[in-house]
Amino acid sequence: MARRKLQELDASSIADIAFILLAFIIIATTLEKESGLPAVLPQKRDVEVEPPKANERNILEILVNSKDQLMIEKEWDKKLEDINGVVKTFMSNPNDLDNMPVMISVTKAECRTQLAKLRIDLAATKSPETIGIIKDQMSKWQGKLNATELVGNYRTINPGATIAIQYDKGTSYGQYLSVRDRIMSGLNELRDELAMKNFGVTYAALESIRAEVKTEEDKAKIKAVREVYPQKIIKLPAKNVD
Amino acid sequence: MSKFRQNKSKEMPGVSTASLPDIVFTVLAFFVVVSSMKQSDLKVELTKPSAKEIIQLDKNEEIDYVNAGIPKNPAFGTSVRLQLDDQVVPNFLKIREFIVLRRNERSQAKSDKATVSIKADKDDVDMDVIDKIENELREVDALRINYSTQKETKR
Repeated sequence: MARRKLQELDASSIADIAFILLAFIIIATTLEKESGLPAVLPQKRDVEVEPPKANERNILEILVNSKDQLMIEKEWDKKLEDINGVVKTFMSNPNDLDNMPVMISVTKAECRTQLAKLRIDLAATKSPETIGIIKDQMSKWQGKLNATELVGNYRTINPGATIAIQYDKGTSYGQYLSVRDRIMSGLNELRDELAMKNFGVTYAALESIRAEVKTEEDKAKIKAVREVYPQKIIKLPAKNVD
Repeated sequence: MSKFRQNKSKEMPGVSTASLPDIVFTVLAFFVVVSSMKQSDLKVELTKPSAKEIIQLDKNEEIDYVNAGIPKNPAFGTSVRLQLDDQVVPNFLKIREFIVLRRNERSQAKSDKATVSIKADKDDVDMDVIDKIENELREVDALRINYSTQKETKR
């Protein structure tokens, strides 16, 4: 019997199949990635507690009324562009002014002594509740210590200080987000300066490193910068403001 | 001389298409890697606000969308409505149901990291609506949110 020659598979239609798949993928997916301003909502409480009356100098109040007009620190007719600078001086208080938040100096030595103290406390207590509190405190100081190791001793805003956005129910969402955006841009400028000084790259560049290639070192740097310039924005419950 | 003349009479060989599938598959692979699935079509009028300091969410992150705007189809109403998945709902209470449903579809570890992206029209939606959405989200402990924006051209 004569052996028939094995026929080769006709591959010309594979290209067509691949084109159809390609078309499907292009139609069903999008290249646009989800992006925006992230935020974390406060936890739900059974009874909404009034925020404690904070010291006047510790709060930067930005108010947006129902006509989308701005008031910064009781001054009307401000523009979105003004927010940037105001936030920068508020967060850093470069001239130690009396009407700006108190700045705290964080030093390596102080972090070490505080940690040592807490360790002694931890060894002495047995109640699980206090242990939890002490551990929280310890991780806080550890974070500060890590930051000082990367950026040296630094000044930071006191923990009570916040930027508060007050709005009306009728304030448009777009205007509110613009305000939030400008606050972040002021903050990020400060962060950029700090990162540039210490690491030679901007904070934005550190942040934009893709998750897969971000090293532990990069993460530590980001943490350190955030420790010095924390994001502290709160939304005050809507009020009627004209 | 004759060497050159010989070829002249021959026909041009056709371009081989044997590598075409490979090329197409490469393009296909590229699209599979860089793109992500589209979310359901929008049924509300939506112009996202623009911002400069935006952060891109991770592709692998679990995202739920809450859309708010005026419905394109007036049959659903002429004031601001929510769109969850592909349903237009007038009722803010539906958000809870929606989030819980989504949460049950995921593993615990994933749902802890899930983000709710609020997509709202920049002019039509006012802060009253945003507050109501956020209150509902707090109610079901979905605290990680994202205000969806588009990129503003750089300063």
